[in-house]
Amino acid sequence: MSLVRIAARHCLCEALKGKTSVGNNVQDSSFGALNFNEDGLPETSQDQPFLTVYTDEADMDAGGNSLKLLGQAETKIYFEWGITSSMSVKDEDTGESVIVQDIPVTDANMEFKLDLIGRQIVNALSDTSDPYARMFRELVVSVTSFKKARIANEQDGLRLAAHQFELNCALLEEPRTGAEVLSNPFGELFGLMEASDDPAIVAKAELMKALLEPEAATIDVFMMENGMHPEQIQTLGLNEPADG
Amino acid sequence: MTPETKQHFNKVVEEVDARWAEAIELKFLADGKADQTRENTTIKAILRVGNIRNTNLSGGDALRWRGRVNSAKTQLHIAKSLYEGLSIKKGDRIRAIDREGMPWFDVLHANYRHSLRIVLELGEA
Repeated sequence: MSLVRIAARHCLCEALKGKTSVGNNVQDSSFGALNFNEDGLPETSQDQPFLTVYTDEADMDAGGNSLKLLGQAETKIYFEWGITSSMSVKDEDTGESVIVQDIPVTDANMEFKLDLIGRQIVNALSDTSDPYARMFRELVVSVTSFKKARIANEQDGLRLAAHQFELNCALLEEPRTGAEVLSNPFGELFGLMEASDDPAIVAKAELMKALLEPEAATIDVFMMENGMHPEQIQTLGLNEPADG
Repeated sequence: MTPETKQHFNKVVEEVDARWAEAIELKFLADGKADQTRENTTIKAILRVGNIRNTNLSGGDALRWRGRVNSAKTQLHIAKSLYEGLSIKKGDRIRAIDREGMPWFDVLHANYRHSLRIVLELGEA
């Protein structure tokens, strides 16, 4: 429910970059504003639509008397993408603006563009020739539901339309602590992350691997995976803690 | 309002505009394309950009939306006594050519109901 989420978001962002008409404007968990204007002057110009991937609440079945917290979890993954009237190419002379090619920025065309991107996302996720799409597929154990929501408004000086996919799916259990061989797709994912040009991604891979304590003692690994109390171990699985 | 009062008010509007109005290009559009029946023009009017609001994509804080945007309520005040051009409609676009970067705005609503001014509600464009 932790490293698996990081892996899922990373794979999704990488799998979606360049595959939809938002280009490389795919963000992981962005919660800062996607545009900015003061006196009508854009400070960071978002001149194209955006797509953001979030993982939200997760739910894991648990029971018994041990603290087993590394299992598969039902996780909500959100994709949000949108377009505002400022994200368009303008003709200096006439003020005409187009979203793409000859399509002007009208409400209907904004919606058209968003549905196109929706299909592009689905296509990108099914493209298993892409290593990241394939690794994401390996992280997903089962899918419970897939929903779409939309929103559009022009309040407060911004004409905006956005779509959202909510993918409710069970994600793989966490990779094992102390494992000699990492479960799929973590071996490949860490390899790709470590080979990245971005030092932040390399550092992330190192931090994630450090948590998996490859040197951990077998007994500690067993205790952690089964969520057992040391005394349970001592008494070889008895529910009652051993006296003294 | 008596005609005399209106005259006084118009005088006030003219004085205010002389000090605060800036050059604004009006770009008339129909369905997002240049409107052939209305010719673009440049006028003087008062442009006011409000405080920035940070909301999520719903325009509020509805929990189901996570992405966030900034927006600022912006209005253009045109003196009726000084502008007798074509009527401005939702979907038209304006450009503040005196300002740095010459920002564009969308006309979201044109209000002609005030007696002295036309008030355009604007959005970022």
